[in-house]
Amino acid sequence: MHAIKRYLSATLAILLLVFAVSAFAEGEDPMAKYDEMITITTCRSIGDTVQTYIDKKDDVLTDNIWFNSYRDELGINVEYVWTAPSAQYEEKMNAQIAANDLPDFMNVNASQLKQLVDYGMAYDMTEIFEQYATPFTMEMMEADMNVALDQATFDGRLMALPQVAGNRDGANFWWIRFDWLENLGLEEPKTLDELVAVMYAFAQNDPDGNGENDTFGMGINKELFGSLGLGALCDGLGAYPDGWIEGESGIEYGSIQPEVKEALALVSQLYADGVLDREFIVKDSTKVNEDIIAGRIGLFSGQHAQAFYPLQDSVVADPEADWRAISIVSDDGSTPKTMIGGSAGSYYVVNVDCEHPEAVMKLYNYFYMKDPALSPDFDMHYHGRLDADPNSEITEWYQWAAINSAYPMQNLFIHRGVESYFEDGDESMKENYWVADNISGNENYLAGDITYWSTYAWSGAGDYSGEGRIDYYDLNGMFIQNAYTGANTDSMVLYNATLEQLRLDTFTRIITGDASIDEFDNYVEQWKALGGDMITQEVNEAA
Amino acid sequence: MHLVSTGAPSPKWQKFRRQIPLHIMLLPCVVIVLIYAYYPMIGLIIAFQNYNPRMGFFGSKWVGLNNFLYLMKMPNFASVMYNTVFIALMKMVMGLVVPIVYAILLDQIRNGGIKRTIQTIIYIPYFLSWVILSGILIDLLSPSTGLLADVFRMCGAEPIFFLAEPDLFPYLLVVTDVWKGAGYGTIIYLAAITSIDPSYYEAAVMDGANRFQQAIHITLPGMAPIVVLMATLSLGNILNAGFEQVLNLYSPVVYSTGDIIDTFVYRIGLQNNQFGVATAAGLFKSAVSFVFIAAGYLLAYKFADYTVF
Amino acid sequence: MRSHKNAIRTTSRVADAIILIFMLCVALLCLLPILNVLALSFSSSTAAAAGRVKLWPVDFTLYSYEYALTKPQFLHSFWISVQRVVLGLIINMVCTILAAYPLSKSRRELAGRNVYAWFFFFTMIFSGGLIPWYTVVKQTGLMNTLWGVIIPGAVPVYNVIILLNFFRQLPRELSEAAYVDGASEMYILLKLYLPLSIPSLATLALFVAVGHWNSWFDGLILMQSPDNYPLQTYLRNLIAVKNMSTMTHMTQTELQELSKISDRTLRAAQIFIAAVPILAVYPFVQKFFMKGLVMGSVKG
Repeated sequence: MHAIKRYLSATLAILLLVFAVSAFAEGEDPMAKYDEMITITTCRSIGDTVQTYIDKKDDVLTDNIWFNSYRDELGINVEYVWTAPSAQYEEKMNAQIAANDLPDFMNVNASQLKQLVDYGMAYDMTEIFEQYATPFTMEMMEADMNVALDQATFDGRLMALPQVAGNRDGANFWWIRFDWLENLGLEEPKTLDELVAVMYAFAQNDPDGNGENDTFGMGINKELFGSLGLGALCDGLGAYPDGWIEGESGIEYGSIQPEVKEALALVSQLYADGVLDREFIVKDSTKVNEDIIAGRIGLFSGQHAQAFYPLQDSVVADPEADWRAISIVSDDGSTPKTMIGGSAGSYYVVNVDCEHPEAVMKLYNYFYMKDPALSPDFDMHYHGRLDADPNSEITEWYQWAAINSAYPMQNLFIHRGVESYFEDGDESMKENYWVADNISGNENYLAGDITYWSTYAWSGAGDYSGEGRIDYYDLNGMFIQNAYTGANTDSMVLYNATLEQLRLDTFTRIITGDASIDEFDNYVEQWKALGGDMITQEVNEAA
Repeated sequence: MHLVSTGAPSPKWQKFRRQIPLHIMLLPCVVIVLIYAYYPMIGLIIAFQNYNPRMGFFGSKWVGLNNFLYLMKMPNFASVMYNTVFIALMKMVMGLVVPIVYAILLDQIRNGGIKRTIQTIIYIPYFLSWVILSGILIDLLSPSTGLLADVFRMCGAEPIFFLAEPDLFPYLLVVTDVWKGAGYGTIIYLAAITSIDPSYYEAAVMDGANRFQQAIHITLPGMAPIVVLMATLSLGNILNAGFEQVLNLYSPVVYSTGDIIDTFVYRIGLQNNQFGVATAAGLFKSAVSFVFIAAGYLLAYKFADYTVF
Repeated sequence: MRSHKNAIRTTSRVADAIILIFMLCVALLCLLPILNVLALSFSSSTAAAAGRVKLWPVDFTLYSYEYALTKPQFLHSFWISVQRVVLGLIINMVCTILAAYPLSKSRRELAGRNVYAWFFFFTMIFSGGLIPWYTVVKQTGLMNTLWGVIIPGAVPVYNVIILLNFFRQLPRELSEAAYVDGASEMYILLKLYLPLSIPSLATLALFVAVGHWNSWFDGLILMQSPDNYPLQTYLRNLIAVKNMSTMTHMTQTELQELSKISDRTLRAAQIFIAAVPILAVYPFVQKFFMKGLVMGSVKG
């Protein structure tokens, strides 16, 4: 079923490409300039960095290389109706949607997209995409096997332009302190048994050598899943509680599979033996990060971004801390696989009342034209300047684009570039803006500047950096694709809240020993009865 | 024939004319409330709709009581209701009693400097959000590293993991709620004590009443109208168990006793902005508040002949 | 007789001591959180991120204050909040007084008094919710202005009810005598009621100021740019912690900003700076709480 869908979307992509090419052939330039300047309204979130730039130059949001080029080259004048700090953007957007007071296009999350589609407030972009997507934009979509477009497709219609991030970055791996391994005379764990042994040793054998029993075997937060949760452990057991898998009877929900029961049994054993923090049930990720930085945790299920936080802080607090990314491990000698899902993190929805929906598509194309260093039209000045002083100058120009969307393999591409520079001495790598930026960060760290450790731990050469580990997974076929990456189905909207609470409730009680492991079977029955069966049916119909 | 008042205005008119300035004083407030409070109440009809922002209040599909039924049919609804009322009731009582006790005790402290300093200090926690306070509480109550655990160990007792004990969790909510809000709540009673006629105290001293007797026989009765008022208004909180507090302190282990209507609705709404359900929940809460306050109002009127507002 | 008096005095001293010790303990407990925030604000960010800061600064530094106080956005928001409190205070208090005075009259003195009372009370319990509120503010042209967060809530019904109760406790003879002398309602309100109600007015003013100072949600929804945010809306942005369990889809920008999350010391400094004005106001309000102030002036 799912394979068919993949095949279909690939075919669709080729067809679209043909369309796009034939559109060119007819002499219609998708990036043609409007004869008369048009105005398109939107809104945006403002992160800390952007805010510092606004403090330096207060009209920088609309007077910058991107906006000026939009006007000069495309004849599009983009205006912001409202802006909000990134931490509050989502909440503000919810209110704007509820009040039906929306600009021509806007960046929304998956659940907001679903609402806008249901309410009939999103413009159907199918034809416009066919007509206006440039070949390079198409190439970017395919780099991810079109999974991002799938995410924005409802009943076969493309309802938004995905803000692509890349699905491989969702990979789980273990961040582990090699200095602790060394203190205890242990090797990098290659099997689940070895990993569990490391956990016991980290919890019981005083890995930091401070003479106190103040360390835990594995970091875990009260949400249980995702990073800082049980992600990597579950992956190793072939359990995918947060995803959908291809089962015998079609697509099945991950959390109700026997592998999850196995994982829970193991974790509850760890808890009973005092390997885990007994207080994890009240600790959110902030609190767990505190423990990591304070040197109480030396192993946790993580992702690439943790190199920047909390690990950078951990290394500053204790320069001995030698965090490295290691692969997930299986219990039976097979090659474990980590589940990756969608590629789009958010979506650009065009207002159904927008008069120039194609202009939004042009802005989307334009970003891909100018920003990815692979693009034939790449112009470094749109991305930013390496030689500028970040303290006094505005450097990161790509942030000013009204629409941005990444090359899905960007992070991996950066790592590979950094690696061939350091391992093969390939100087040409410095020609790529992204890579050059990371090479200099890596060099700074190697020259002794510890504040650049995060860059090294993120993109550094070899398999032990975050992206290095993802590269290793990529080369060794260690990914499994989530079988359902589409939008929430109607039943999900209705029942997910209850079902997720049921899951968290049951699993937490199993882990803490308040419920026996057999409670899991009860959970499976309840899950099915409380709407899970309907969700499964809808997922199979949609896929 | 009947009398027609010609020259002199009727007594009724005269009485009304006397009142005109009072009506004029009320006018601006009435206008503002009409525009910004009553007009938006149109939005309450969302509770009976499957609201679609594009269709608006009048174009959306009507679903009758479905939104209410949806809420009530959620599993655990009964226990969530029970938790809410249980926690809210305790908070109402403590939120009323503790500030009054504080106010009376503060009134007893003779040294003005110490009195004002204590007053100011107990007023501080009100200004810190639950996000911050919960972080501090989790540290404080940690059975391994917390301050409280140290105290337990000093006394030779085994530390208790308060945040993970379903039986204790509601009480913990009440105690920490008092910790945060009681100092601020004291202010209104201090103002009430201020307006008690000092001659009563003078008379009491002459009669040889000690300070405890003065507090019971003069201060408390003097505060009575404000106490009755605050008690009546607090009845409206019968379903407000403290959303932010619970959200920041609870965990699955204490769901059974700690999950309340607001956190429950929040989780539903989180999945997808379910305007109808959220509005229905709000309307339900308002209606219950209204009934309780109105009942309190009528009781006070009937038994104490006192008009609360 | 004498020994009896002494006994009373001794028990009263013991009682005094017990009361004092009890209230000091309460105060000590209440001091904990703010001490923690203060300690954090003076600590190094690494110590704070590791959760090592409890009640005393670790690696003392003034960096956070330096940074916070030189951030243009922070100062700007601070100023907006000050404006909001001043304007809001004036408008709220005028409305509260204007509504509470007539409502403090009996049904005989004001026709429809109870209708008015329930008319106001009803809005305290029922509200139309976010969407129509937003729409009305927009229709009346108050979007993106300071008035948008002040006018819709200009009549704080809760405070009106409290004040009318205080008004009713004032001796009735006073206003009746003035009335017989031909004084107007406005005169009675301004010259007799208000001076006698200073403690309660001060209390309500404090409530209003605190309310305006603390509210953040309306600022977020009604303001179209962070430039117009009141302080608490701005601070909210710093306090809201990114959910670290969904780090899958992160742009380059977001990755870089991750490293700034640990600025907990900065947040603490900003929370403390934001709390200072409201803490500083209280002792002034306390001046109006002196016992006997009210009635004494009536008699004098």
